[in-house]
Amino acid sequence: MTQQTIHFMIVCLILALILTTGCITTRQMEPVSDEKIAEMQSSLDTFVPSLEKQLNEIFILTNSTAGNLTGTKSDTPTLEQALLQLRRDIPAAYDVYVVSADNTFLAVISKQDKQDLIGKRAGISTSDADFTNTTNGCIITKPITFITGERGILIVAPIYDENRTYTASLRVSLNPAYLFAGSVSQLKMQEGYTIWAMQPDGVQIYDEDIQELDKNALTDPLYSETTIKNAMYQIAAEKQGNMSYMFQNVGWTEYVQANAVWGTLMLPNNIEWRIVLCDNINTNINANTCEDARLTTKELQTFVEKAYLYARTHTREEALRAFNDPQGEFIEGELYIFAYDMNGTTLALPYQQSMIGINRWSGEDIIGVKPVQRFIDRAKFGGGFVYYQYPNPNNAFITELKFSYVISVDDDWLIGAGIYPGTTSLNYSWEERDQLVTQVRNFQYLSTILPQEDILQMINDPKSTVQIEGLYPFAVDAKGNVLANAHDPSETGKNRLGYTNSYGMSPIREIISLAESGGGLMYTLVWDPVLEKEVYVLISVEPADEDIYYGSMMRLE
Amino acid sequence: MIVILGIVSLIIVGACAAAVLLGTGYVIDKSLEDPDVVVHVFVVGNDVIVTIYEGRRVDELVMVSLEIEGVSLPTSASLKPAPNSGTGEVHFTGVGEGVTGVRDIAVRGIFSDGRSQLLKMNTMKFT
Repeated sequence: MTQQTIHFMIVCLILALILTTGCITTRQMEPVSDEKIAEMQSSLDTFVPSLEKQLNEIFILTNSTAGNLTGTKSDTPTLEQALLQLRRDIPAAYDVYVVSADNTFLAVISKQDKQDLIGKRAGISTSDADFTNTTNGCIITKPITFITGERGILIVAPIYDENRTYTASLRVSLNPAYLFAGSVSQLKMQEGYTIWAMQPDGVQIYDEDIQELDKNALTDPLYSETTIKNAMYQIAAEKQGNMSYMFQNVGWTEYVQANAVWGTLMLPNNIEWRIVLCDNINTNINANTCEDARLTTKELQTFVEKAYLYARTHTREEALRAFNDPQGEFIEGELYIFAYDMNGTTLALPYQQSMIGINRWSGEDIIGVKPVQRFIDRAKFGGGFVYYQYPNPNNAFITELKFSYVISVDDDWLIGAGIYPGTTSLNYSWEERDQLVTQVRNFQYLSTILPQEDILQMINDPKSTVQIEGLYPFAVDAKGNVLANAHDPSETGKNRLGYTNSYGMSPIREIISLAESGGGLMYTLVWDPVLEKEVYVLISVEPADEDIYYGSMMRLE
Repeated sequence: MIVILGIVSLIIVGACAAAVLLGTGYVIDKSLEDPDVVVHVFVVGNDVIVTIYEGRRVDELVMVSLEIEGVSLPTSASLKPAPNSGTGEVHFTGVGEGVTGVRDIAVRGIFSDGRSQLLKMNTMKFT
């Protein structure tokens, strides 16, 4: 055999190896019919205007509020009332701020303590010139991290004085996911499509898979496969189009062909959102939905207690090493131990070790409940069960109610584990969720213009104008006394700190704790006197002042 | 002579410091590895539940007492017998009634030899 023949054979062998190991792959994709593309385009053409309408409503509300603030002093009740009203009318809003022309906070409606912010410098500065070419008077920012740690976008409108001099800006911080979530779940159920969105620079605006948010679609290794990489660059470069690419299916079990059409939502100050509609909602994977295989809450509790004993009898470093070991003794089937410090920094997550050191304080479930904040709060009571929604990998990644059991190891950190108990799917709509938030924020607003007695009377009166069908408003004070309760007015006047549910949770104590931390959303299980059983509820709560908290709940089943 | 004494003094000081450091580390490690009784405290409604898990002296535990910062508890409410098996839950029923905010909690164990020992000191949330 000549030397040339040997060289030729070696080259062939190397090429064969490269081709078979996938270093060079040619994805064969099925052609997509024109009818299918037209059908997808039609769905997208309906979706984008509905999103645009929502944003325009927010722009109009923000701009008209800013207009009404002309000449208003920063420390007056009028300003506070206007901000509370605006936050009530935009349920997607986290917070509302007024920032002076020299870029310091003048007024704040936020979970963050006012005194911590007033007078401080804002991260984003705006000037009169920024608003000159806007069609609706507002500008919008790219996704940023707010001073509260939450991530989202800012809608900003200018405030002028009587001489038309720019004096300040009115800012609304919101999570863009809230604008998409309701319509996307409807689109998915009715038409079998989903939506994701990004800016032309690759920054993700919305994705149903919360793991993908915060990733840059043009640079993240997740999108390095050739067809998806090409798709991302093409979507970034062109305002509209259609194409197919290979991507992980919903269960992340295999690469499948995803077909997509996209368009662009043009926003103020040249911000563009590429809205991509795709058919990658495959749930046809080997789902393990066998109810018998579901773990019980007792097994969960026993597992966490075993880890607690380990943590109490070893150093923190030894314990975290054991909890983070994917082959270690703290992996039992689907159970594993997670650990966080009391500021929300991840200490242990054996299957997502890249998250260790990452702060997840502001992470939210699909409806806006913040699981890590709930873990920490519960752990400060010693521990117990926490509910939130999360995609179940053993059930086609369908979002289910998840139970976690947490225990504080000491004052500095907590451990826990979670299971999917197989609770029947929760019954609520995004509109109801928004109504819940709006109703409670309305009480917060009313508390600045009406005597407290009037509001309490309205809550207990089933015919008052504040009532919304399916929602049960209530008011409690800081000592746990029920001041009003639409669901069961006979509770009024009783102290309910001692109320517990069958999982040993203390709903009233947790409601007060949530309100004192600035308010928000939580799930719990409460006794329903009409149904004569415990039911899952979503509760929204906001503080009216240091002593009174307004809330409302809706049944989830 | 003074130089030698100085060196000897330095050696003695160094040895003492090392012994203190190592000794402290030993005590900490020892207490982590072999605590007398491992307990945890939970606030549940108006009750405080102390769960006793295990430990070297768990069999000798006779009584468990609870103190809550700023709350005056009668002995009948704050002192409870330990579970017969040593491990298990001790319920301090109603001790959290009307208690709100954040409080320090101390759990003490009284052992069969009459000695009392602090088992856990925690800052707990009541609301």
